[in-house]
Amino acid sequence: MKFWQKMYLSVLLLFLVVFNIFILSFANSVYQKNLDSIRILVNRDFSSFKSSFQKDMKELKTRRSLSDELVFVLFNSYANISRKQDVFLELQKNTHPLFSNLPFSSEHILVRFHDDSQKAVIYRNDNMNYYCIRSSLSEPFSEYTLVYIFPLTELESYFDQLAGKSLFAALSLSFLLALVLFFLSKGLTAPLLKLAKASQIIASGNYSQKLTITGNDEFAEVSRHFNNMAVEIEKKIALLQEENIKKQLLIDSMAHELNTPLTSIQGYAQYMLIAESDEQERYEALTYILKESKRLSLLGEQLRLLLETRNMELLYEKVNLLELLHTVIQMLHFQLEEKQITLTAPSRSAYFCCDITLITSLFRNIIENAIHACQYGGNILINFEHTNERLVIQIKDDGQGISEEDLEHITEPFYRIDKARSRSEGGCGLGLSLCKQIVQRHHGTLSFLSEKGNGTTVCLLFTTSLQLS
Amino acid sequence: MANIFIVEDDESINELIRRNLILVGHNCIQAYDGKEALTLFQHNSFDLILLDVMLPSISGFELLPDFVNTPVIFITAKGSNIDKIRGLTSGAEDYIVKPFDILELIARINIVLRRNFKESSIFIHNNVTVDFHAHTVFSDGRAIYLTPKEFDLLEILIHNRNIALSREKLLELAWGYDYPGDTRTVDVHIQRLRKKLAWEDIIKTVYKMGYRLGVTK
Repeated sequence: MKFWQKMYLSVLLLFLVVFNIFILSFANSVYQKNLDSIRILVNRDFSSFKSSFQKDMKELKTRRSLSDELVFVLFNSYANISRKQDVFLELQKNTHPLFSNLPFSSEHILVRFHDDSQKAVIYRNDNMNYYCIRSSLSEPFSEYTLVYIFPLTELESYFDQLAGKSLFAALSLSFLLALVLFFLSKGLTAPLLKLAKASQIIASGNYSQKLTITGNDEFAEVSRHFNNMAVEIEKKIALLQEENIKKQLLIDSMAHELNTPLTSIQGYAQYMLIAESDEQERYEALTYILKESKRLSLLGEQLRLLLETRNMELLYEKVNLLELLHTVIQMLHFQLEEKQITLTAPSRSAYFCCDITLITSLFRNIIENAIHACQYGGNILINFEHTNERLVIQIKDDGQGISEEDLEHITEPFYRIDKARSRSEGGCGLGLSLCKQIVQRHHGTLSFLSEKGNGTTVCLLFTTSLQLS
Repeated sequence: MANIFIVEDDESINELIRRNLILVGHNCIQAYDGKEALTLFQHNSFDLILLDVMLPSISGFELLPDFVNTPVIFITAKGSNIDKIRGLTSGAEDYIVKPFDILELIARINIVLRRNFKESSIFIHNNVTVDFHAHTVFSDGRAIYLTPKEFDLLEILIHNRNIALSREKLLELAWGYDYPGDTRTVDVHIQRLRKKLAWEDIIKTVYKMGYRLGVTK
């Protein structure tokens, strides 16, 4: 059963039950109250009638002898008067009716008097309630019994009217309530339905669905939060999709990178088995195999480094950057000499809190790239700029530069600008991805300034106070 | 003996293909990128083009329309079915995936050449002439009688000349996959061929590998 139906029915039912109980008990108390009043009046009337009648009987007895006829006449006159007040009377002598104008037999009534102490009963006959009093006359007339019956017509009709009115009130009120409650409960649960509908739409993938917020109540608040949630979910999903695409690209690139050297290795090995080759051919084939194997090896190593750098714990120590730079220059000494490249290092050092292994790799990769970019006799300039808020390291070469298009992608894994050249130099396209990773782990930024044909400047910026202390 | 154009950016693979094709008697010209390929195509006529799908700055698919009137076989590292289908429906004759078996490449090249009527039907070595269409063999002008199986075997050896073929491979190629016999029948046939053509030095036994028809240029 729906919530609004539950709410509706429970309130309605509660009201009806309570209301009707109330009405009933109210009516009942009214009836009882009236009845009590009537009782008092009737009893009073009866008492006076009884004493009056007794007095008359006494007088009658003193004047003449009491005969049934005389008593009858006396009683009759009382009866007539009483009749005018709607009272029925009966006189019994020794349980034998002497006079009666009762509308029904007194036997029915008298059986209801269980003992002598009970004075009055209410007897229902022919859709009418009668208030009946029975009493014996006092001595010396104790053989005579009076029966006094008062029909409760007024009370009945009054009560009927009251019942009618109450029923009408109850019914119309119930109907009104039913109507109002119906619309109210439907109206109040409408926002919930809207919420449900919007949730459904979002679940099916349409994240732009928003709830309109009217008013300032709890529903408005829920709607506001709901809309926020939808926005956040949309953002998250877009992010995840982007990352997924990147991952897929990486996997594809990697598969390709693996495939190429393997094809060479497999091909040349097969060639040597099936072809009659001379010493030179064998030498060349084996050289290819070795070179490609080494390339695979390097690829594996770079990949491992890349993945490790993402997760490993950094060992921070205060490093003299100039010293570190000179170490790297020493490592690359041969390559620098081979191409007769002039490398200018900064004169003053800077201190940096970092992982020494990673930063060594970082410098090495960048400077190697610079060397590859330079012509014979080229220049590389390295700069440190150190203030309290930041450390900037610049590595500038006057080599062949990078086009705007390529600049966007150079830190992507396996991205190479000039595949042929890079391969012949043994590169596998992961160098700058690694550099980016290292810089990010140190909370810095890596940026490039370059123009095709006009050299490249690599810029490393570190600003966290952690690094600079 | 066809003119084959190898367009592949990876130097070692390009070289690998060239060496193998030269072994079996083809002439090869090499290109390493799209631009070079187009230039060379203008100045030469080729019987077949081996085209790498992933070239620097352009895809093989895009180059295809420029290679008019010449059958093309795509080479690619991608093994996905979508690419295979794309490769075949784009107008190329065939499609081969890296890393490939060299015998397979040679066989496919031959099929494409045959389909395009660019296959040479005659093979001559010293004084022996083999006509594949007429199914005749002449030595010093004298006709040599070969059984159909012997001829098939000879044809296979010639098409894969200078390459060592295993007994199993020869059995598969000449007798088919379902042949119930064993490789001794290959040995027997080889013996007979050697004798009939006096090619004991030409059809060589290769240690642990099989047999090779050795006719280096």
